Formats: sequence, structure tokens, C-alpha cells
Amino acid sequence: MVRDVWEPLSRYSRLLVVGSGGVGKTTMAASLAVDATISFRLRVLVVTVDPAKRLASSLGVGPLANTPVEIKLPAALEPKGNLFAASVDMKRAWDSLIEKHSPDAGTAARILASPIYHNLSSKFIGSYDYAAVEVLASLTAEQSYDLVIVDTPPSRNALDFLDAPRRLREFFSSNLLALLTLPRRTRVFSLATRPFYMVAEAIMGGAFLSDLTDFFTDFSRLRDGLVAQSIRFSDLLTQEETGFIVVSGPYGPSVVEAERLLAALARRGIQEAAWFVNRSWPARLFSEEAESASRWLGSEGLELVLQGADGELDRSIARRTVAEVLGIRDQIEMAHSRETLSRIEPSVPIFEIPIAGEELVDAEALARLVATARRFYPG
Amino acid sequence: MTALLEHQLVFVTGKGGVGKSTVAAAIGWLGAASGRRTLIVEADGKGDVGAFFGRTGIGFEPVEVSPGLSVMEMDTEASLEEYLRIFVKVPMLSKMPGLARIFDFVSTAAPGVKEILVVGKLCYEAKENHFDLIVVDPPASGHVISQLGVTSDVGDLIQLGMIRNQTSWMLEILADQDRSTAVLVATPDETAVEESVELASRIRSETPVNLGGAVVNRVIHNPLGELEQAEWKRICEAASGRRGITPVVEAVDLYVGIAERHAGNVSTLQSAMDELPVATVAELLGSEANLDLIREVAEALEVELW
Repeated sequence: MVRDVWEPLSRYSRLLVVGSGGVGKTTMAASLAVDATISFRLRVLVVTVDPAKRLASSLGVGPLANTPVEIKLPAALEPKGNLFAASVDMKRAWDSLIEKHSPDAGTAARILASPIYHNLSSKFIGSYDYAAVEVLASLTAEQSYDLVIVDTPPSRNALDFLDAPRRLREFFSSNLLALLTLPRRTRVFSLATRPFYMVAEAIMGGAFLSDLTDFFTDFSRLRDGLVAQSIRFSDLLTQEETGFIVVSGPYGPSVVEAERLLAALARRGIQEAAWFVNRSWPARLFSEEAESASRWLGSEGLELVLQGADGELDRSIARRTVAEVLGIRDQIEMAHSRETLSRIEPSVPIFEIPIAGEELVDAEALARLVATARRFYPG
Repeated sequence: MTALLEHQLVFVTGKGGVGKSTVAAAIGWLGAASGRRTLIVEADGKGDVGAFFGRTGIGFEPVEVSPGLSVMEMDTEASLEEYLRIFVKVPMLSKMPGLARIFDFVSTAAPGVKEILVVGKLCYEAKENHFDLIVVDPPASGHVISQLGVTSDVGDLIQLGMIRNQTSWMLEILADQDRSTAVLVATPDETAVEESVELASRIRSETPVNLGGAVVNRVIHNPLGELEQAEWKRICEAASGRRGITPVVEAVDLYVGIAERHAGNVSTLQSAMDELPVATVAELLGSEANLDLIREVAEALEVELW
């Protein structure tokens, strides 16, 4: 049986999973990949740009590497397709970008050896995000996979990922780079740039400033290659085959963030594929019948239990137990309240992914997660 | 060991989405409630803490959001301006129209400068004694390490200049166990606990700040003790066959199952933290981010805080 979620998702050959921190992006990416492999005769690749350990542990395999490895799903799951997984090492992705776009080996070697580069490659212009797009692009170019699912990096703002290619281009066309490389090109400081260097020198010292200039002079040689590639990346994100899945929790700030993300995707002409509301309490637990059964438990049911009880101690335990159980029920009902979710007017199908009663650390558990996803209709 | 609220600088750390802002706001709330002049510094640029108190657009200047409790938003550009005014003592420079561009340069290109500006501002506030307690709500985990670790890192890259000379007094404040402390916030999921254990060891090895303890947020507690669980089993048997009872039983099983898993993961974290205190805050299911939530979390923390 093909799951409901694939109805809106099967048209895409690339799915990117976005959302605020802690909502379960990695788990969602992994479980979608497992289910796609079970349901379709496809070659499925799941890529994480998070620390390798998390996807690996949720797939129940050892550490993952930059090159995809095939994950053998248990035979009991009867997979129709093949599953591959890879984890992106940001540092290595950037190193290969530098090597690829340097005009000569000397430039690449100087950049790679620079302590400034080491700092930049981990913090610079959303470089994690940029490296992630780079890996997505190269894996897509290989065309050895029918479906690539990408778990986007944890960042302060999920949009950083979308804007990374554009920001890189902006950097290369900004005055900033011109300023950074200025002292190499001319010894004559204009009145306009002099204060700039006074401050920079006061803060960081002259020696460092000159290291910095050397570095950016080398780095600017990569401009043409990096800019051309970043345009291809931007195109890749807006292609019809690329769909975005927004993940949130059932209530709280992540719901607001998901709405914001969807709007931002639409503005950028990016395909919004679905909204996954993770850790939802399954709707079947709140049927009319269940409600009336829990009311019964608090009244007649309790009376019945009390009649059968043996002595006052037993009766007090029974009362306490029923009270606690009804308390649990109240708690869950609060979590299930649709106040936030019902207000939204989504442009995409919403799926509720049920909260798991187990640790999601093997393929079977991941498969169950998508299998129990249910479409939610707000309003 | 110094009690948490006795410190001057409390760094709330942890990976994204675990509720750092909530815990930071609750600690700040408790600080103010105990009569301390308290400042919460938001360094993640999201304005969440201000929003708890119904305030938006809080900037670099502290704003009193409730009696004794102020909130400010870290702004590295404003911090640079202040830094130049105070330490470089060249007022002309801080008034310069191109400062924003210089700031771009400094923060984009120079390793650790942005971090130093953040940590520097915090240490400066601690030194100036305008507040008894400063609670820092930082951005996601990796940045905390680079921010706190920067006082020693930066020396390797920048041999001369102001920044180099400035780091030693900051280091003194950060490394003083009675003055500065880090609190690790985690959620009780298996992967989150794994990551927290990793983060704890990084705080210990890569930053000068002493790790004081952990707060496990959003814990589902099992309200059924052994007696009640046995009794519940009996009740379920007696009620089996009753229309609609199955989903009721299923809901309780799910809840209790999650609670047991959480308890296991909390104790895993507890043993990984050695002797350090681990406080838990119950999951407040369905709650929205507002002042009620902060009060509830503060109440829960008050009992467990070291």
C-alpha cells in the first residue's frame, strides 16, 4: 500500500526538509527515505548535513561518509527499491569547492593552508548551507538516484539555506571584497578608506590585516567559478523537481516558524510540497467514543471498580489511579488542541506525524512513522 | 559549589530547539524574584525572551520588562561602537559614517572578532556591576563554544592589536568558577541526550567556563507508581469490551511509554554528567510561549535548581 504522504510528494525527485531546530528534521528525512524505498522501485538517497551520527543512528547503521553507502533494509519490510545514505562533511565539501575553482594549484594550496580559511569555512556567509547545496547539486548531477532527500543543516534561520548561493554572489560583487584586497592593489589609501584601516588595525593589529588581505586576494581568484556555480545552485532550488517539506511541532513557536517559511518559499518561487506536523497525538485517541469512555471511567466505571475493591486501601489506590489516568488524558488533550493549527490557511497539504512511543533508532520504527501519518484539514 | 543564582554570568547552552530561551527567561525571572538586579542578554537574534514578556524590538539598550528584570538584544555592531568609545578612546571613530561597513569587514573576515565583541560586552557588564545576575541566551550550540572559547583561540591568530590585549581580563572573569557558569539545556530524547553529553565535554575542554549543571526540559513524568500501574492493569481488564475504552488505554500506554523512555534518558544524562546536578522541567503540553509558561518553568526550576 502506498502511503498518503506520497500523493503530493511523488512528483518530486528532490525533497528538502526544512524547519526550526529540534522539530525532528533528520528523523523525518530518514523515515521518508525508508518508506520511499519500501513503496517504490526507486534508488533513494538520503543526505544529512547534520553531524553524521544522528542520521546514522536513526537508520541503525554506523557512521556515514561523504560517498553514499547502500543501507540494507530488513527483508521483513519488503523493500521494492534501494536505499543509500550519505553525510556531508562541510569542511570537505568546501575544500573541494576551493580545489575545483582555483585557477592554479598554488592558489588552492595557499587558501587551504590559511588559518583564516579554517575559520571562514566554518562560519563564513552561511557556508554550511552553501556546502549543503553544493553536495545536493553534485549528487543530482550524477543522476544515479531517482529520489534525493536532504536533511538541511541546523541554522539560526532555515532560510539561510535557500539564500546561501545568492549571498555568496553578493559577497563577490560587494565593495567589501574590493576593500579587503585593496592594499595589495594599491599603496595609496584614499581619504575614504583610511579610517577603515585605522580602525581595523587598531582592533586586529597590522600583521593580521596584511594576512587577511593576502587571503582575500587569493580567494577573489575563485570568483568566476564560484559565481557561475552558485547560479546553477539557485536554479536547482527553484526547479519543478525540487520540493520542500516544512516540519514543525503541533504547537508553539515552530508552527509560527513553519508558516513564515512557507510564505518565504512562495516568495522565492520555490515548490512547497508538504507540511509535516511532527509529534502529534494521533487523532483516533480523541474520537467521540473515546471521550465518552473516559467520562464513563471517571463516573460509573470508577464506581464499578470501587465495588469490587477489597478494603479502604484498595479503594484509595483505585481512586488515585483513575484520577491520574484522567489527568494524563487532560494533558494529552491539551497537546492535541487544534487552536494553533486550525487557524492556519496553508497552501500545502498538512500531515500529522504521530508522536512515537519508541526510540526512532531503526528502519522498522522509521517506516511505522510514515505509515501512520494522517492528512489534517484545518478549519 | 556556588549556587546558580549566586553567579554573575550564567551561560545557557544547548542545541537548537531544546528551549534555551525559555530556561534563560525562567532563570532570569527567578533571579529578579530573589531581589537581584537581573539582565537577560539575548544573543540569538530572535527576540524570543522579549516576546515572552510581550515586548518586541528590544535593542542593545537594556529594557526593564518586569520589576528588577531587564532584557537586551546583543548587537555586535553596537557592541563594536561601544568598544571603540570605551577602549580605543577615539570618539571620532565611533561616530564615523562608514562604521557599519567596517563592522561588516571585521565580523566577516576576522576570526573571533565577532565573538570577542559578544563576550567582551558580557564581561564588561559583569565588571561594571550594573547587574547582579546576567543570564545569556546564546545562539545554537556550536556558536557558544566558539564564543566562549574565543578568548584563548584568538591569540593564535591575532598576535597584536587591541583584541589581543583585551582577552586576558575577559578570561579572568570567564574562568572564575564563582563568577561565571554554564548551564546545559537538553530534552529527554535519546539523540538529544547523546548530543548533550558531547556538548558537555566540549564546554569542559574548549571553553574556560565551568559547567555547573544541566536542565532537562520537556520531560514527561509518569504519574503512575507501581501500585497504580498494577491497579490500572486490573481496571483495563475489568473495562475491556467497553465501547471506546481501547483508545483511552492506548493513550495512557503511549504516555507512560514516553515517560519511561524519558526517565531512562534523564538517568543516562545524569550519569554522564558525573557529580553535576541535573534539574528536570516537566513538559507543559500544548503551552504557547508566553509569560505563563515562564512562570511555570521558573516554579519548576526553583525547587530543583542548585
